[in-house]
Amino acid sequence: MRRPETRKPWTTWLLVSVPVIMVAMFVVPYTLLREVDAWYGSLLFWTAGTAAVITINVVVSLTWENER
Amino acid sequence: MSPGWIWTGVAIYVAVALVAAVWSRVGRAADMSDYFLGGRRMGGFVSAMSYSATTYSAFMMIGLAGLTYAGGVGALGFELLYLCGVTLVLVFGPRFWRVGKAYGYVTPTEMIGHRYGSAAAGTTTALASFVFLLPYAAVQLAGVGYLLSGMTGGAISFTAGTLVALVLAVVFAMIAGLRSVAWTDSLQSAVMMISATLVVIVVISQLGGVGSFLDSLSSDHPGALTVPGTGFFSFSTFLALTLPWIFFSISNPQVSQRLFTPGSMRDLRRMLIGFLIFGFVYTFVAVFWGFAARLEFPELEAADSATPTLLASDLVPAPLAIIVMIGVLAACVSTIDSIMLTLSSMVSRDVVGAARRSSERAQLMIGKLVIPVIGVLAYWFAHLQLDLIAVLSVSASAGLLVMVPPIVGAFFWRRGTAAGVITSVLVAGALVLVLEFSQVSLLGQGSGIWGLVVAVTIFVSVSLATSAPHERAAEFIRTSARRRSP
Repeated sequence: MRRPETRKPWTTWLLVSVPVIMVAMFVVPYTLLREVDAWYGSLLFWTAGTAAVITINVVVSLTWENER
Repeated sequence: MSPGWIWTGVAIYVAVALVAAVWSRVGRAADMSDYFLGGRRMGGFVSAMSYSATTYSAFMMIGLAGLTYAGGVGALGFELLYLCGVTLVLVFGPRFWRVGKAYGYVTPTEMIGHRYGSAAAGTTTALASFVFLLPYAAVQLAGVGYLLSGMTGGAISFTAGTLVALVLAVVFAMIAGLRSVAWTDSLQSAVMMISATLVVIVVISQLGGVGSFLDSLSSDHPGALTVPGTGFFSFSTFLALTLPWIFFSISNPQVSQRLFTPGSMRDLRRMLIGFLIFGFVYTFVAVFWGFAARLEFPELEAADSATPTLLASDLVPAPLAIIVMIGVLAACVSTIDSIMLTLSSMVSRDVVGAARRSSERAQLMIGKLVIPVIGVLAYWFAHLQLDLIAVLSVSASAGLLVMVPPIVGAFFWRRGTAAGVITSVLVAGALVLVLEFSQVSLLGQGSGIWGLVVAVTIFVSVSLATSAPHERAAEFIRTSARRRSP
């Protein structure tokens, strides 16, 4: 049976937040974290941002049906 | 570093990989899908390992480590932003996969040709891919050649190193097409990951553990943990490096072709998530390796010698250094053989196959024959001057950005036209080449940024001025969004 993909609204929000997080990963280290010369500055920020994006990928892809 | 030990290590690696390659054969491939896409039945785990090995090349442990050495933590940001960009697979993966199954596409450029109702569009994008990917493959060969000859003080020559990598890549590709590539990739990504992780753990523990490691960076190397830090990673440099890589998963055909290969959506998901986790770990390993080199050898002139210097130092036991070198060789071979496979499939499907009607068998034969030819071309490129190679490799990732508007348009914009694809790819592609060769920087921004801006502008404006293949577009988009039966 074939039917069009129905997008659940929350997955759309999660997807939209990825570019937002990525823009933050450009802006924040060059502004707010510019003078934080330690591991808890840009290093931690980029790590946390990526971990969030990977989590979003895991969660959204779990909503996929197993098409063959 | 005794060449005898290195050759022994290489021989063991080759023997194991050949066994994997031969074992992966399931009889003679019947057609293009079978050979180049593993029959569209590739499992999730092998696909994830293969995607990782294909993506992560010699660049990571040599180039990225060198970038970290020279510029600090900005290198981490750049590489992690690339990884975040792989989220594009979440959006485009299922769509590529569905249309691949429905229409029998073997290459992403064939998909473009069919979607826009123009074989010429497919051929143009295939040729652009060729122009930009061949130097990228060549720089892998050059990187491995320099590493092996550097580590052995020339006992293994540059030529010998590049030849070994090349021959391995050709053999792994030809034995069973994508299947042998994917299985050798899986083996190689295991070697890459294990060797790199082990060596970083060893080095950091010798430097006093992670805590003291990070503290030393803060105190002894001001700017190493910030951007722009010591000044290397100005915002425009950061943007110019990062932007082409963010779109890598759809702009680079050797990885976008992989979106046609999983057997099911579950396998596609495993490929994506497996790769994200691999990439996350491997990125940290490569960056910390670069930082370790910075701490231990702060006065190196060339950033690219960070890895060889650290490997040859007392911090790394010789057997481990050899395993890491083999890991870098494996990273290089796994990237090159995938590029060669993809380019061969494009030549036979989108260039020769588009020019004259040929059977699947004829296309497959041509595809196989082209593999060593591409290998020879890459080898020849690798032996040109170094300066030229560096320029070409940067323009490669920037140049491939011109593939992005046609691909995005294919799935999300009915109004895109073949004329838009062809003109945007040719003009923007040429612009990137010109900017890179002349080393001109417009408004202080990188070639890739201009390439993308010009490509989007031309694609949109020319499309609006020409007629679109409405029916084909509608059907294609509907197919890409329509769930197949589980």
